[in-house]
Amino acid sequence: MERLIKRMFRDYYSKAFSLNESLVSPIERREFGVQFFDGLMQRHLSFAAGEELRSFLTSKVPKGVYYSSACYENPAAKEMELKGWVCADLSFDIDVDHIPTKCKQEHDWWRCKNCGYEGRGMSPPRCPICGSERMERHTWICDKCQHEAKEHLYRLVDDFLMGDLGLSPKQLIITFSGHRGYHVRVVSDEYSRLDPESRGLLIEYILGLGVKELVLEEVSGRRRYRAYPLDELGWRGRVARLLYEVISGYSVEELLEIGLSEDAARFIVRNRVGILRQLEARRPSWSFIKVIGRRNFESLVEEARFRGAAIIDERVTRDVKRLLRLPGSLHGSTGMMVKPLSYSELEGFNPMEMPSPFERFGDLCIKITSKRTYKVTVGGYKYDPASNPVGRPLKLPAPLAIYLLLKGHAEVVGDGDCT
Amino acid sequence: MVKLDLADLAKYPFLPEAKSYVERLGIELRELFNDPDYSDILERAYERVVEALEHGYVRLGRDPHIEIVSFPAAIALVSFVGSDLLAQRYATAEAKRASRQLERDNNLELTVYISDAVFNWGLKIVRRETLDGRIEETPMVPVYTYLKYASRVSGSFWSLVSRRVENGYVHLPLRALIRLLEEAIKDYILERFSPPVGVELGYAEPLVARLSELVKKRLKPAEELLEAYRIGEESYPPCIRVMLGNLRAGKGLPHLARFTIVTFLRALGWDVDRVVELFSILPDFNERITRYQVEHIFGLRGSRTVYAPPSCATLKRGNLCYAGGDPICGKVKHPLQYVRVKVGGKAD
Ligand code: SF4
Ligand SMILES: [Zn+2]
Ligand SMILES: [Zn+2]
Repeated sequence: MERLIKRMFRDYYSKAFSLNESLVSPIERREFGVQFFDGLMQRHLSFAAGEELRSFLTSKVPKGVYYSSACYENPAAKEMELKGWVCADLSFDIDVDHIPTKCKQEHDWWRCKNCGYEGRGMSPPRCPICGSERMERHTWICDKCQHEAKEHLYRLVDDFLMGDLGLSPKQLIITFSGHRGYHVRVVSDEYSRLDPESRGLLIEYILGLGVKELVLEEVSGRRRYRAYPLDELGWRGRVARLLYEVISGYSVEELLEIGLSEDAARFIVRNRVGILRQLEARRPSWSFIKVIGRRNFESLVEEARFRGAAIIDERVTRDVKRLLRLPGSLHGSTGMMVKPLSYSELEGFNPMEMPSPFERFGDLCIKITSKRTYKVTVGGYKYDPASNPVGRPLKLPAPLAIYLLLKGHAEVVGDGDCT
Repeated sequence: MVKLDLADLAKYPFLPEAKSYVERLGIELRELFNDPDYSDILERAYERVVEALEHGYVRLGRDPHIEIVSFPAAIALVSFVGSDLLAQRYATAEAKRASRQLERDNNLELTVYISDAVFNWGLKIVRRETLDGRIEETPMVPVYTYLKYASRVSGSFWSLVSRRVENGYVHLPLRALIRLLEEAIKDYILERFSPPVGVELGYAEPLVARLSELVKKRLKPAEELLEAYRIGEESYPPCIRVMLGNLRAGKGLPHLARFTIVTFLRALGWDVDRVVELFSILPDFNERITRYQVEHIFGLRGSRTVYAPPSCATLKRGNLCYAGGDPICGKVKHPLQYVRVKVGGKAD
């Protein structure tokens, strides 16, 4: 199987791949790294031009290709001290792995490599039974998850980067990650010089950490709340508007689900119109808090934060020496392209319908080896486990077949076995 | 446009106008240091540094002329002393003085002028009508400038979440803007320390010598800890001294003792080679294995965790505490704290 996949990856890098150098510019200042199919990693690579990189990729055929958000005097130096860090583009990673979605209960699962304990849904950082961090994680691509990733991407880009930070679409390099998320790199000298602590303040902002303290103050031991008008700037207005959304749109059941008490939920629904009028006022008063109480109000605020924050992977944004997936390269767990997207392309982009470079290989003959496959669409081709029984040789379009092979749920069989 | 008089330049001697004032007078550092006519300026420059060192604050002298010219002279003196700690201390004190003056002046226009003229912040001013009909002027700084400096000031007050953010700018109350400026002023001064070449110290020589003495007396303990190589074994706590003694005698050491020695010496600035060499005395020494273990504890391998030395409580539990009647041991909870007290003369 590895031979077949490597052959197809090589075909891609030699024929179809062309690096848009403006996306990694200045290329000679970036560190590159690759991960091979045997799991080995090679870092500290440096290329003077895109063509040089391409011939490297064609001859080595890695599983994943990465480049640094940082610029170095000496990107190929092996030790950080000798590399000469100059700056690092502010970068963001949105990945469904970090965003809770209900459908993960259906298609994601994990197993502890130490004790064998397993579970469904979002994987905990360590095994709940034995505490081991050696976890096997199985993820799947699904419509709902892709949709959720895009929702958070839009929050990040529209609300925070272009909205509050006033950046223009031209300053953003957006790529689909090739799996279940997106990367955004900000091209700005000012932001790329910030240290990790400064980036930390921005992370807090995008995650909305501290919103509770914004509306519920503690002044010399006494707790009080602060109300903000809907058109206020920053998180002040955002939290007011999102509270408005929650209060105007949630049913009693939904309010219970986010942690409100029965009484509080009923009170809100019954007095909805009056509460909303209070929120709309130019000098708003949130006196309903006195009725529902602090705990219930906190749940509302947390829900508001959850609706407004963009869930980004903190580590990626804080780390100024990190490697990111190279635009135009292939993702080694899906075979999908790490696709650069302009802001205007975003709206119409559906990763599951994205044309696959493996299209031209027609059908491949494979055999599903696992009972844990789910519905999926890759390169526009649909797969349904119900009509593709385990263990029987199947002819599947190459983009789908590669996906199933790379996910480890299928193996290659001889062409003769397929009819 | 802001009108600046001599008194303003004295308060804010890092302004470009103050710089050109000195240039217009044609006073060069060489003359300042070698011409007895300038002794009052040199004397004030020295005072500035001493004030920073002793009180963490530089007062505003009465004569604006002397205040303005003594500022670059003081920077030169600090450069000649060549102590990073003194430089930090001096820059912090001058920055604090400037921000106190700005608070006292309480002048939005002037503060904005300084932000733009010296630091190129590109501030904007918003005018908003308040609910009671007054016009309120609020300065706005670019978000990245806010992030850069606010991250150094601690406290939830500086969380960006609590601020009005608008199209790339953060609205700030004047006092908050001044606090950020204080950080920028400190950076500005720190960037200016470099020993002037080809300048004879002249009259400044005894002043530099006195400052070096003062630094040694006031800042030495801290500086020594940074360059901890120089800390002698006589300053180690009894537990470590006993462990080292046993090690040198070629006695076997329990795991916790080895771990303690490695982490302790690492905290004092030892490198891997030096620690490995120390262990080479053991009869069962194997360089490859020892190096591997030491590198692991240094956080250079595996999980990359850098381990801290165990506390006194842990050592007591492991029967490795030899406090006996040591008076410092009675006051500390951690072997490193012991060193700090012994070298610095005070508990922290
Ligand atoms: S009190 Fe702490 S420092 Fe003193 S001997 Fe015991 S363990 Fe060592
Ligand atoms: Zn386990
Ligand atoms: Zn899903």
